[in-house]
Amino acid sequence: MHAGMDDIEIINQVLQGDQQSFEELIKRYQHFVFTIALRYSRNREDAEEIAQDVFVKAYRSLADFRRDAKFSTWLCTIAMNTTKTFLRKVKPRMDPLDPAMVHAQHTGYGANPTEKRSTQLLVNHVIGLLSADDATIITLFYKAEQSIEEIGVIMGLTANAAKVKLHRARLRLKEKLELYFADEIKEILN
Amino acid sequence: MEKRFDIEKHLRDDLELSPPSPDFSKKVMGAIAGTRIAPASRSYLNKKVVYGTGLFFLLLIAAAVVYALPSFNWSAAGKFRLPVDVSRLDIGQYINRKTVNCLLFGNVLLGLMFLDKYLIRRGRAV
Repeated sequence: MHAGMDDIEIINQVLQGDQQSFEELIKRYQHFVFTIALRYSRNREDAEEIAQDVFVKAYRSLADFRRDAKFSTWLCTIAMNTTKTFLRKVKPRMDPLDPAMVHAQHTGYGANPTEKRSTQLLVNHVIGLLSADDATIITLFYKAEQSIEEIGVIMGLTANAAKVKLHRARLRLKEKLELYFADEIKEILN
Repeated sequence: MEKRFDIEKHLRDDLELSPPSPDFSKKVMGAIAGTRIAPASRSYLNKKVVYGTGLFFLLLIAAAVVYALPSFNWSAAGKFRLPVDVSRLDIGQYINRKTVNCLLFGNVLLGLMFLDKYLIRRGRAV
């Protein structure tokens, strides 16, 4: 029903009283919002609670959405703020020194990485080893299709600072790949 | 030729997003079922009132600074002299009980106007 409609058309429908149309926006962006929340909370239950809170806040403030930015940028900004507020109130339920575990459980990239060598699992596993900020900035740039300027808005940085942060996050990802998975990479390339 | 692990390409192609539980959208729809969309803040925030309040406080600060100037000991600053004899200025004659009452009255009036606007908007939303 909403397949061909863009975000603004759906938002207009919701603002006119069609609450059910909001479900389409949830389906479109739930993966982004949930991933951002998971990168910081490292816990699926907390991430789901945060993501739900993000969409409820977005719905309540939908009339305040100014159309000079993308809806996804606005939503990711709410997601970042809600996640940080949540983490200030609640301590993460998982040891922050073991960030890869949650992602590993989710992706199926288990305790013995040599068993599964696909690049997809490898990349996603190493992303889980990065800090939350690094993992989020990489996700926003490569998956959420946010520009450097938009990432700056979402993370409360200047465009230049966001660019530098993204560059450094990529370098750290590369270092971790080379440090922990040099053999796997060799096998993938051969 | 040695092959290289193209990190840029793999991040574009292989990076995955984590999906929430399958009934996530239903849960959110349930949570917003009894919720109303709040009116846009630009509809109840009157810019004139905001600017008016800002101007009022600026004037208040300016008045305090001007009032403090004559009591300042300029001789401590050395031989520098202002072209105007500030010590002769008597701002105190303007800042008296009547002026303070007028300023307070203006402030209360602005507050009542803001409250009135807020109650009208709230009445419409409900």
